[in-house]
Amino acid sequence: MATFQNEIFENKEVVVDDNRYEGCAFYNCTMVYRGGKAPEFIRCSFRGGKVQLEDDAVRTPRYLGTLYVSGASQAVEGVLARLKSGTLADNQRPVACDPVNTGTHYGRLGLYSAVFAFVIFVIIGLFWFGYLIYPTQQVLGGEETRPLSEEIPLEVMPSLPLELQTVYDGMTESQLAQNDSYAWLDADNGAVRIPVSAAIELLLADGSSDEGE
Amino acid sequence: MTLLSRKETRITLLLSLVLLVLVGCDNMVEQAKIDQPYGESEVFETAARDLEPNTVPVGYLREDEALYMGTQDGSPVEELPIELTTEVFTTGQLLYENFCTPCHGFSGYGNGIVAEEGFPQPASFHDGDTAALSVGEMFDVITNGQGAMYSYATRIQPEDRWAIIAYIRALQLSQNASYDALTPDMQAALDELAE
Repeated sequence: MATFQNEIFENKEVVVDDNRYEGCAFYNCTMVYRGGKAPEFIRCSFRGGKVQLEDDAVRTPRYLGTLYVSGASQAVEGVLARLKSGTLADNQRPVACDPVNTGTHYGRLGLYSAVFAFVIFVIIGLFWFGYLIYPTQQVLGGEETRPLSEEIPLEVMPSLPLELQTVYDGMTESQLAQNDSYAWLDADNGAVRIPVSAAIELLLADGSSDEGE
Repeated sequence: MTLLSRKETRITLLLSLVLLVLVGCDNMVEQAKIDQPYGESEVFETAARDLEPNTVPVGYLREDEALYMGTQDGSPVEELPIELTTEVFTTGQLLYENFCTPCHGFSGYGNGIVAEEGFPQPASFHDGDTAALSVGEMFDVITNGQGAMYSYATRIQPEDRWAIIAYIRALQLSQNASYDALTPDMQAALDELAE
């Protein structure tokens, strides 16, 4: 480690690794740092000049630059802020940042966009095929459903001709009367006609259906 | 460090739930179907597999030969295999009037409305071979049809067929009863007519 005291550097390329400068002045110098032990500047003055990083020293700014363009700009800004304020101590680890606040997160934005687009696509598809409007239309091929009672209007329901209806009514009446009356069929042999209800009563009493034969 | 914050996780889960619900809106019309039930299948020989021998659908085990076939050891039964109750006759009358009267008439003489329109007049229940049919033979006619009469097996359940037969028996007794077998009240009603 070399120590320089009260020297004036002017228009020079100064390699500062491992050095200690006390009361020195640098005029239009190129300050070269190669990643070695950090130099110390005590009561020094600078005018003009530029900073040049070489060898291992290049890695850190390149890392910070990569971070910056990758979205961690705020974190890098924080490092720079601490650097400017002189609070960036050796081996100081930056405070972990909230992932939400690290800038634009293109991966998450893509995920949201994909999910949203899929939902919209599905909803549009459901409307397109009619699932969200009238499911029955889909089932019936677009035809609207109608109540069953309307499918066959009453006026076209088949009915008996008036003449036949009269015959039927008369037939029904006579046959039902025949089923509900007493009569002698053959008085000599004791054959009679009885109402069906009476016949049922006899069958129930007898418990056998073969009684009538 | 997680990919999504808690709030974002909730939103994503909610969206996923909405998607699941939407996907659940299925329509049977759109479901996969087999065009030909007995067509070729990649898994089985046919898409619809053959039933195993003696397979019986649930509720169709009909071991009672008399009740479901109308026969006993292959011969038509002579007696009704059901218990005669008022309900049986009520059911039998209702079904007879619905299914049988158009041809056989309300009294069973074969003088239904169709005979008036030129249809061959069916046999009367009160004379001839039809009157001599056993209940088992009647059951067979209702079940399998006979002549111009078609089968009613798919229209009338076996128990209801027996109810109809019971009512026909009542009709037969009604139209040809013996005075001596009647109750005193019935005999009195006939006596009034004779006078």
